[in-house]
Amino acid sequence: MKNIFKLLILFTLILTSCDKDFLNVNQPAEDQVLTSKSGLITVAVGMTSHFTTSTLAPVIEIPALSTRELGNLLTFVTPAELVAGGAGLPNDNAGITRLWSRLLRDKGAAESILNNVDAIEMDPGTKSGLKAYAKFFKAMTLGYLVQNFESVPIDNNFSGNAAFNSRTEVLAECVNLLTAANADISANPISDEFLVYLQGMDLPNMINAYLARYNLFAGNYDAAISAANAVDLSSMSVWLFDGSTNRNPVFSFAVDNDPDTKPQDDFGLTGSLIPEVNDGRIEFYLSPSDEVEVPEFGSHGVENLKGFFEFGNQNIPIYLPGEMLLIKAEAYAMKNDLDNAVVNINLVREKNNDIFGVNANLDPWTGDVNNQDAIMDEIFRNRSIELFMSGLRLEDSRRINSNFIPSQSADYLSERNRNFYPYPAEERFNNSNTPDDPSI
Amino acid sequence: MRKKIIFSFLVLLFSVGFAYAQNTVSGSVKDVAGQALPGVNIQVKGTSQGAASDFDGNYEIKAAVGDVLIFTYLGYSTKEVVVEDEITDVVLNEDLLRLDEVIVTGTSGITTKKQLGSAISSVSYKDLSDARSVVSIGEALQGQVAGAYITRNSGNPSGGMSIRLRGPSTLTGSSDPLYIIDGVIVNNKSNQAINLGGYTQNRLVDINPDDIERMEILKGAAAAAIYGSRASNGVIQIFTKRGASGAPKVTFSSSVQLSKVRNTLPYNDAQLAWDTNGVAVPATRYNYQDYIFDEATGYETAINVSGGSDKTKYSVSGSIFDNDGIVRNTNFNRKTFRLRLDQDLYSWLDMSVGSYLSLNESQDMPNGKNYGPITALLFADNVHNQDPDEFGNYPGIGIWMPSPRETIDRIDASQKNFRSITDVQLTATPFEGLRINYTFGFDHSNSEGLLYIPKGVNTRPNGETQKSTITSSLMNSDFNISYQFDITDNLKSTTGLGYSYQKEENNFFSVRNDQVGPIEGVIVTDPGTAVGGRDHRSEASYWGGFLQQTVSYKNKLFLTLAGRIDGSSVFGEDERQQFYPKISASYSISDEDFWQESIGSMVNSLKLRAAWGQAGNLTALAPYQIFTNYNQLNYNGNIGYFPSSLQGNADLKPERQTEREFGFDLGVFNGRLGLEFTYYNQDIEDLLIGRTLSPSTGFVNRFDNVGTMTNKGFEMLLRVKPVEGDFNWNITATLSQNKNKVTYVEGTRLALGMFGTSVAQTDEALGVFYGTFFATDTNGDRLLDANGFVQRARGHYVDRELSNGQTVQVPVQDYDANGQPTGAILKKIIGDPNPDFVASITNEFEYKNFGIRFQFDFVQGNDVMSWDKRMGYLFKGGQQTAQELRGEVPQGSSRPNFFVFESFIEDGSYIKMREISLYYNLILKNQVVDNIKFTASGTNLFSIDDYYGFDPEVNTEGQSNGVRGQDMANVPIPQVYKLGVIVNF
Repeated sequence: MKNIFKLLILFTLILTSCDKDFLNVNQPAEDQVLTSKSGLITVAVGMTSHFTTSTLAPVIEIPALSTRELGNLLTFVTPAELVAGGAGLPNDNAGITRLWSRLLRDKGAAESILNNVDAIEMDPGTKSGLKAYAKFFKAMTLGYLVQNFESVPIDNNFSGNAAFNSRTEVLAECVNLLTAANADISANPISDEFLVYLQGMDLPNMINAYLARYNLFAGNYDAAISAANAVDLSSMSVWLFDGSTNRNPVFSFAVDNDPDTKPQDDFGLTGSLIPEVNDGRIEFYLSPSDEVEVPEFGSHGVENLKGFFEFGNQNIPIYLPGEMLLIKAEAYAMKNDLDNAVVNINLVREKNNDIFGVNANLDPWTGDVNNQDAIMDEIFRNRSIELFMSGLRLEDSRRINSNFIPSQSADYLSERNRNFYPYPAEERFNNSNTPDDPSI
Repeated sequence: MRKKIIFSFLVLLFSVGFAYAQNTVSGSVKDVAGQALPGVNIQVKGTSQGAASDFDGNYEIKAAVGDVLIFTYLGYSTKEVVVEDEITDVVLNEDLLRLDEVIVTGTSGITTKKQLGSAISSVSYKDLSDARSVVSIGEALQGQVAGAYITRNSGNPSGGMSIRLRGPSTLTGSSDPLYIIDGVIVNNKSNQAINLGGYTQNRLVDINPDDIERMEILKGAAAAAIYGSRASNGVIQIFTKRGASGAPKVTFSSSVQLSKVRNTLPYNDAQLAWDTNGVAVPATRYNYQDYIFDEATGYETAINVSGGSDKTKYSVSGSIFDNDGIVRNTNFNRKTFRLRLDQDLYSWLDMSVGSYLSLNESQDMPNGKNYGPITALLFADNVHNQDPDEFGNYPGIGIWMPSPRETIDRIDASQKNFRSITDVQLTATPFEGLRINYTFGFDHSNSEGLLYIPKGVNTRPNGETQKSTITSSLMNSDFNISYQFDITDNLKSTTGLGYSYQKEENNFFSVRNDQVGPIEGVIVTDPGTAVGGRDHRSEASYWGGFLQQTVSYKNKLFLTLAGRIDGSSVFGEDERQQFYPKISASYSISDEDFWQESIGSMVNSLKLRAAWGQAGNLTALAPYQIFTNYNQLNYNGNIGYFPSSLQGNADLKPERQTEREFGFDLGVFNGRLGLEFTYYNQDIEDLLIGRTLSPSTGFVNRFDNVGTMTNKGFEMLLRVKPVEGDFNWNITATLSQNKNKVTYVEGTRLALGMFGTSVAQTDEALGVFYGTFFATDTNGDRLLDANGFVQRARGHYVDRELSNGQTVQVPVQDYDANGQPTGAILKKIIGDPNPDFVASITNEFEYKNFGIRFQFDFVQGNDVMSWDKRMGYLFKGGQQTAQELRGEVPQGSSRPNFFVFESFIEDGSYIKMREISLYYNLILKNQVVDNIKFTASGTNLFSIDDYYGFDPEVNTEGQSNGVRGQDMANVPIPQVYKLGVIVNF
């Protein structure tokens, strides 16, 4: 009997080999990803993929609806609230929420690379490449955030109450990150190992281009000019789309399948800002259409979108060379060096050899070359056309036309109907550091 | 011959201990009415000597004069008889309270119901009608269990069931109880293999309810604490039929059935249509339901063979069930095989082995929130003739889905399930009082879902194919010891000790194509050209041990204390180990002398009981969700990982229920009336919610234990035998009331599904409906617009503080200068799917060999959102358009209702004739056949309700926990007529 008891116990033990921990074979967990070189590289690829397929859409679409780049043809709530703008724009608008939360998720991924990369052994050129790309990426996401929201957390906070930073602090951080990225790759040039993962990108030029952009926004005009000068205008950097798993997001929301939002006539510009009829960029970006918005949204005429968005597999530029010329023009204009400002305006107007084909092919500007305001208007007009649908219009309008105060009521006609967006409800409800919403 | 000798030798060998002089005692066992009781268990007290009565109630057992015989029979009071004569006839009294019934679930050892401090329902096959058509265990239990709210969620022939024992106990997990079949913890998942619009089977449908001997049902934490983290929804333990020693018994049953749609949906039968000027002109309107629904037939054949010797007992059964659905081209076919073998290995060691195999297939239609025939019915303008043309092309019906007829004729959606449940049990009784049991259980299910939409189907011209497989394996290994001994003459101790390890593995794989070739019949999904698919594998384990101690005083006062320590791999390492205690007491006050001497003759028995306990629920969290997981993405050929939107949380713990219950079991009028009453109160805390995070965390949500809920209610079971004798009348009635309240939910309101209309909100019951409502003036009357039509309420929200300090936004209507609504469109709580009470009354009349039974089920005070009604307000095939066309209501007056969700909240109360059945038992007792029982029944024949749609007793989101009472394009529960014959050989 004792033996049988022993057998019974043995039997029990055999059948009860108690596994209590199981590996997730479907997905890696954080500690599997952030602890190795290959893991961090996949995060770099992953955040690029997520940004291009999920985040770039609201980055371009949301401010486009508030600044007349896009007209609204149907009555879906999200675009309808955005084209109306004013104080009535609720903080649970799905578009604003998408813009805010997706940029913060991308920024979080970049931060997780930066927080872990130093602890991992790897080739110096791979490390510098990873760090520089993550810093560029964090600066870019911070930049897109601060273009649309008055203040932004520089650092995500895993547990919930992230501190917010002022616009000045955020732009300074963008500049710092990009300066540091430059230093990383000049100390150790990017290794071939990492370059494989920067497909479509020329990282050194991207860093300088964005450095120029944020220095301009921050009012550091000399630094903006020197960064813009450092950009090789014949270099191309693009977000890649294959048309199937990664589809051009602007094509998806503004071109494909008879969408509810389409570009307004004349790039949404009115009065003296309407583009000259022989501006080559009209044909580049738009094809004519007779379609008109419903009256309640202002009856704007709309066109069909071309440019970088005509097909699902078209790549989208990370920055345009024309922006560098316009940054210089604006920086010189703001420094009251009006001659150099006009020189750069005309470089844009007369451009016929743009690497991306954005060629105005116009004659030199005939406006008042001694009038700073007139020069700034021409810069705004050219930025609006040259950089159409790149997510910059709200920032440009607010910076250049800063005297205009948007209406508290719904406004379908003015150049912009908000200065900044309200902080999304999810943030306000869960983060006690969320600042008061801007008055408009 | 030789075998017989060996067998006799073995018998001799093992019975050597009892081989001293014994005579044979025989006699008959009958009930009070003089009816023979077959299968009564007879045991000589203090020995393992046992026997059972035969079909005529006669028994024979080896015993001597002076021995005590114990007669036990399910549903009857146990009787101890001292043998005075070699012929001992016994009459057993029916026990309506069943206090002598043996209960094993959740107890320290084998015990009687009398000892338990918590209400435990036991249902035997005898309580269930053998005449009625039931597909699954859940359906068989409808109306039988006090404290249970059982709904059939779909009228599909394999329709899923939801069982709520004393209300829901989770917000985002599952509130279905833990099922144990013959010691095996079984899979009761309702996984979706292919999208059928919300409808899913649950895996309990694999089991043939005819195989059940009895079920024990623990309804909450107070009773189920020793099942730990998986038990707060209650436990249903199912015991399948076993063999008894004696000549082989063969039961053959066969039945045919006919199902019909009980009630069709109101539709546009105006034979008119609007012309371009908005004038009603003659038109042909079709009733699409004529083709959708069809009278459906089915049959069931089963055979059970059981028997055995003293040492070996067996029961083998096989069945085939095949039933068409009332929706044309739907079907369910189930084949089952079961074996139970009990073997005494030694005098002190028994072994039991069981095997259950089930193979079933269903043909389905993708209704509900999908594109199936009933869904198309809601959206279509029924002026289109849906018959195919001479070339076999089906015309469109002006909407984004194919016509009901084309879907039925051409789309093929099917499921196939293979199930095997195996158990091995060893029970050792080395000496009196000690019982050691080891159970190993293994449950494997393999499900396959197939979808084929051929090329050329209207609105899906490229066709589609999909194949999904779900493989689930559950293993449990349980070691239990119970030890009983007498502390003193009056004081007895029972100790239970157990350890269980359970492991679960689930695999899902699917592949999908959205371009199929033009050759019909080639339906395989080519993986080489797949456009979508999923591969997901998970493993989880659960382990725990318990100790339970019962002390009884003079067999009338019982006190039980227990605790379980439980763990699960799904939760974080620090929170894994959970402790669940319980305490309970019962007191049979009627056993006291003072009682017997005073009112004992009137009030025969009264047992008081009270219990407190805790148990957990871990269904809200899937494996690996405590981690921050990264999703795989691709960027131009490189693999990338990006954090998923769900932030990991290693500090999660199972949801915990604390339950208190008080009750009594009362028997009066010489056992002619028995009443069980229980009041309970459940506090459920640490509810798991995927709460919203501030986006500046870099995530969207995270599971947290941030919710609480309560259930309070009572349950009552009444059994009455008003007439006894040649003519018998039995009444069984249940009445249950549960008040559920979500007392805290992070964020005040949590959307649960069905387009955000089912919500969990603080201070409301789970799953209340949230939506737009009618604009009213300051008097509360409907505020109509300039056309005289209804409209949505508008205005603003104000904060109101709730009892727990949270604030909720409540709507306030605003009016413009003309008194018309102005401001934002408002929403509020507009309905509640939880019934005020559910009840059931079953009457059985027996006269000699005839019997008749009817059961009414009552569900009262619940709301249903009838999306079928809503679609009628907007789409032209609805009855509302017919009313406009006929000029009964103003043109255009229906449409505004579509936008007011309050307009399609319907009263879901019903009184259903669940069953009417009759039988005739032809007793032959010849050499071949003992008896033949002829049965006839009608199920769901009528319903007394005020409901707009087909049937208020369905749910579009199937077995969803929080989404209840939602009715959109649901297949209604059919009316079934069944004729059957049961032959005992």
